[in-house]
Formats: sequence, C-alpha cells, structure tokens
Amino acid sequence: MKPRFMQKFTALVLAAAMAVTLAACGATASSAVSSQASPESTASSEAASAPAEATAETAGITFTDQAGRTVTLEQPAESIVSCYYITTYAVIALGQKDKIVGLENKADTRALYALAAPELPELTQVGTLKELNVEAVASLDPDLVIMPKKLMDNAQTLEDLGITVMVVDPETQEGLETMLSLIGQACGAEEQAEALIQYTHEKLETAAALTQDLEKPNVCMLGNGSYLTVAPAAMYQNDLIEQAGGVNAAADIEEDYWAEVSYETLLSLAPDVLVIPSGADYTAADVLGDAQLADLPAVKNGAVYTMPQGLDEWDSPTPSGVLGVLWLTSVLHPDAYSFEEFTADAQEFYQTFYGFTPDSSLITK
Amino acid sequence: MCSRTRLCTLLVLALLVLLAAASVCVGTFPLSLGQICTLLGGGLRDTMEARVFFTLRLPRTGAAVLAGLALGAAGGVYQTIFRNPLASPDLTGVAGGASLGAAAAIVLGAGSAVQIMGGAFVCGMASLAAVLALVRAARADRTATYVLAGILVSALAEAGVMLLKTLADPERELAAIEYWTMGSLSAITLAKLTVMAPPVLVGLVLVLLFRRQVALLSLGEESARASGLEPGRWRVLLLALTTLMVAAVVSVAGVISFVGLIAPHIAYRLLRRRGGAFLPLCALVAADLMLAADLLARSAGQGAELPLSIFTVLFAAPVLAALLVGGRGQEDAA
Repeated sequence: MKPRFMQKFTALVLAAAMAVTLAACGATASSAVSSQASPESTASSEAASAPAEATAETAGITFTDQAGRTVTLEQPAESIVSCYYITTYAVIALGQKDKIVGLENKADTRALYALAAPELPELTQVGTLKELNVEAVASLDPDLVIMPKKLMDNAQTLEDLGITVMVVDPETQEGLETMLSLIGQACGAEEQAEALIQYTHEKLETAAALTQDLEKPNVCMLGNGSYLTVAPAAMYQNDLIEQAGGVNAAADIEEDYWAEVSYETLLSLAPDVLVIPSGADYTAADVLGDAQLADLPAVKNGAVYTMPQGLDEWDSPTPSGVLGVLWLTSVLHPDAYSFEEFTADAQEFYQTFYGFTPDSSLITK
Repeated sequence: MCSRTRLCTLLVLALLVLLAAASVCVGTFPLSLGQICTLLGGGLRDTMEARVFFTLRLPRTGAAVLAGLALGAAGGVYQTIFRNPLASPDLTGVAGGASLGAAAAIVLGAGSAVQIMGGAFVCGMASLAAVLALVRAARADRTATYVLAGILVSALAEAGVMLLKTLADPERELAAIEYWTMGSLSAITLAKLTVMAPPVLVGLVLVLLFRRQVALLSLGEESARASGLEPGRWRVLLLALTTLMVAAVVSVAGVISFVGLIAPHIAYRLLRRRGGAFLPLCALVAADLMLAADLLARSAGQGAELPLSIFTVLFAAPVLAALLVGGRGQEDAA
C-alpha cells in the first residue's frame, strides 16, 4: 500500500506543478487540481484480501466477491457469461464449461479452448478487458456474469439491468484461490474448487521442499511485447520465480506492472536465466542473437527459455498457474526435478481438471 | 430568415432525425423496430428489452446529440470571437487541458463523474487562460500565434497526461485514462447522461441566447464597445460557458477530436456567413457528425467498439484539406 500512496502523492504534486506552470503562463493563477482522493481503492483491495465469507442456505447463495460487493443467487448459476480468459479457464477447470453462454473476444486464438472446450469460441463474445459490450451481455440474460476488477465500472450498469455480477481479482496466488472457491460456490462446484486448491497446495509444497537447499539462480521474467520489459517484485511473476527456487533479478525495480528497462539496466541486473512468456511476440533466438545482450550471463550460458506456446498461459494467475511454478522448477533445477517428471505431472493435471491429455510435444522449454 | 438559411437548417435537422433514429435501432441487443415503437409507446414495462433500451440505447443516442451540440456550439463561439478559423477546443488547448484534469482526477481517486468534470473544467480553463496570455504577450493576434500557443499548452498538458499514465494503477486507472484520450460513448448509461446534460444544456441555451454578443465581439474591441458591450467581461463569460460544456462532454465521453473545429467550417460553407443562424447550425452539424461517428464506432468492429476519434478525424481530414487547398486559412489570418 505504501509505495502506491507515495506514487499518488507524487502524482498530485507533479500534476499541481504542471497546472501551476500552465496557469503561470497566463496572467490568472488558479489552483488547478481538485484533490478529493477517495479511499475507494484501498478499501476494495482490503476487501479482496479478506477471506470471503459465504453462507449457503436453502433460501439461496450469498457471498462477498473480491471487490467487497455482496452477491446473491437464488440457486447455483446455470448460465454464465465470463468476461476474460482467466475466469473462463476457471469455469472450465471446475467442470462447469457447459454453463458458459458467452465469453471474451478473440476466444478462437486461445489454444486451451481448442483442446479443452472447442465449442466455446462459437459462443457469443462480449468484449475485451478494455471494453465490455453491455448490450451483448444483456442479450444473453445470464444467471451470473463473472468479471475482473478492471471491468468493474460495468457492474452497476449490469445490476441495474437485473443481471447478477461477481467481480474477481486473481492477481496473486491467494486471490486466485479465493476466486476459485467463489466461482465454485456460485456454480455449485465447491468440491471441484477444493480439489484444485488442494492439488495446488500439495504441488507448491513439493516444489518448495525440492529446491529448499539448492543454490537459487537469478531469473528475469520478460514481458510479452518486448524483451526490454521485466516483471518487478509487485507482480505475480515474482512469486512464480521465488516458488520455483529462483531469485527475481528485477526485484528492486519499483513498479506495479511490467517495467520498461534499457539494455544497460538489463545488463546490470545480470540474470543467469531469462524466461520468455507464452504470449511473447519474439523468440529466444531474437534474444540470443541481440549483440547488445551478448555479455548477459543468461545469453552466454544459453539459458533463455520459452514457456510452451500452444497450450496455456502458465505465467499468469490462471487455474494452471501451479504448472508455471513446476515448469520453472524443472528449468532451474533439472537435477532435482527432471523435465520428464514435469511433463508427466502436467499431463496428469490437464487430464484431471480439463478432461484432455496434452501431447508431450506441446510441453516445451 | 432567408430561404438559404431555412433550407440548410431543415436539411441538417432532417439528417439529425434520420441518424438519431438509426442510432436508436443499431446495437448488439436484438430490438426490432416494432419493439422499439412499443417501448416508446410505454409498452413492455419491466422487461430486459425496456431496461436495455432506456438505460443504454436511448441515453447513448442522447449523449451523442448533446456532445455534438456542445462541441459544435463551442467551436462556433471560439471561431467567431477569436476571428480565427483554427480556434477550436482542440487547437486552443482546452481539450488537452481538460483531459489532463480528468486524468488527474482519476489518478487522485475521483469516483464520480462530477469530480472528474470539475478537474476537466478547471484545467481546461487554465489552459485557455495560458493560451490567451501567450497570444497577448506575443502582441500578434494572428492564426499562427494561436496555433503555436495552443500547441505549446497542449504539449504541456499531454506531458502531464503521460506522467499520470505511468503513475496510474495499470489494472483500473490506466484503462480509464487511455479511454479518455480517444473518446467513446460505449459506457454511457442513463446515470452518466444525467450528469452531463445539465451543464451542457445550460451552457448551450445561454450561448445561443447570447449569439448577438458573440457576433458583436467578432467585430473587434472598438466596435463592441461602441455597441455598449464590455468586451473583456463578455469574452470571459462566453469562454467559461463553452469550456464548461466541453468539460462536461470530456468527463463522460473523453476527448473527441476535431468535431468542434470542422462543424463551424461546414456550417459556414452552408450559410456563407457567421451571423444569424450560424451558431445553432454549428451545433446541429456537430450533432450529425457525432451520431454518424458513434454509429460507425459501434458497428465497424465485430463485437468490439472502436474509439470515436478515429472517425471524427477521418471526417475532419477532407474538410481541413479543402480549407488548406482553398487557401481560406491564410485569407482569414491576414
């Protein structure tokens, strides 16, 4: 919370300075920034980290969602609109894919749908993270709409139309688990949610035990758009590196989101291993072939790895996020946990929760 | 009212009705013409159809019309009182300043549209004051001076927006700011329309009532004073009113480029003069442009909406090109 506050304060001061500059150009000076800072964001993130209280009664299902809103359903939702891929994946992983009546745009580009639920991309698409098509959601008249915090401004609009909305915030491992159990409650799939959370805990504990006494290499997780963006400490990817027995080389960068860095900064971070996410627009060959990075330890050792690209998004807080940790564990510590063992674990995971076994050729590094 | 004025006004009005009707009928939620007639007649109460129509569809059309009226009237007032064909909310830095104000309000945690509007208004006025002071300091009341001063102030405001973008919370605030800088009516609801409507309507009515004063100001300080008008006071009042309207539009629909610039040019081409029905016609032409741009924004992309400014800039390009080639810009500046 504290760095965020400092940033807001700095923003206030700088914006005021900017406005004063503007006003100083003119003859009339005016204090230009209205400063009603509301505690809303603080309150909602507190609510998100608090454990969700739920009461399932005969009268219906009532719970508090991850934005602190109270959600009431008369009975488990039978028709669901999911507004982005992580919630759609969660609904599939809980065995409820038949209840989905609408989902996010560009569903045909997600490899996981083609493998686990090929019928989903045929359904009505209701918008992107930038813009929800409220009319499209209304035309489906679902029992429940599941949306991330980013789209929360639309929640009230939908409620006014008489549509129940649940807001989720799976940006951390804890938030992911809360989201899974909330979706489980809303669809009457508590047991599946519990099983998935249980599986995740067991595997994370195993991974932690395996790498406990091993040397921890410096790792940089690179962004999708460019290899000059790295994941700082505040991101989910930082936890992923630590859980896999590594150290985030970019942990000292103070950003909330993908941090843009220069060649010089990347060289000074000196990561032993570079990880390219599944959705990257560039390849490991691009990184290895960049003359500016020739002196980077990771490049010298040829330790530039790409997460599998035709299967899932293991670098994001998806229901299969634990596989990201296991994948990186086997990449960083192959002697403790071989890639073959990992491949077998991944295949078992998809068979158990998504109902298909991915070919081992899809599981790459 | 001469026959040309009457004909032009009728044509623009007819187009407005036609576009508004199309705007009410087009959308993702399936609503047939028959259902819409029933809804307008008071039928189908308490159905999803009624809720979608009255809280989403109709407010969106209303917002497009109101935003157009506001931007067009503001553009007409600017061009007339500055006696400058390039004076508009975009080029005088008001739109840029207003978006800085809106962005600052979002990052500071403003929850309501009213707070965002307040930020937009204050920064919009500050930008305008800065531009006017620069022009006065330059002692040259020419087109180039306004444009340069506008570029300077807009650039400062843009730097401010960029700074705020880097500091914004990427999950929620950044998307909201991004959205402001491109303009969109996709998130308009009845609640947002009721925030935007009062300042726009008050500003619009007053500006149209004062159109004689606007015309007198365009004759220059001396002539205005000779007609019993205090030019300084009236100029500030009219600019405050137009900035209020622009701020109201910016706070709910974002920055919509160039509508305020080209609508007066189209109106001038139709009327061939800047008096009489010029201001109302500017407003109506801009409302037509907004409705057309919004229709394209929601039907051009499949499922996803496109930003409004893409289309308003496309509309503006040929008009500005004609202005450039026709040499009118230089003629007015002389």
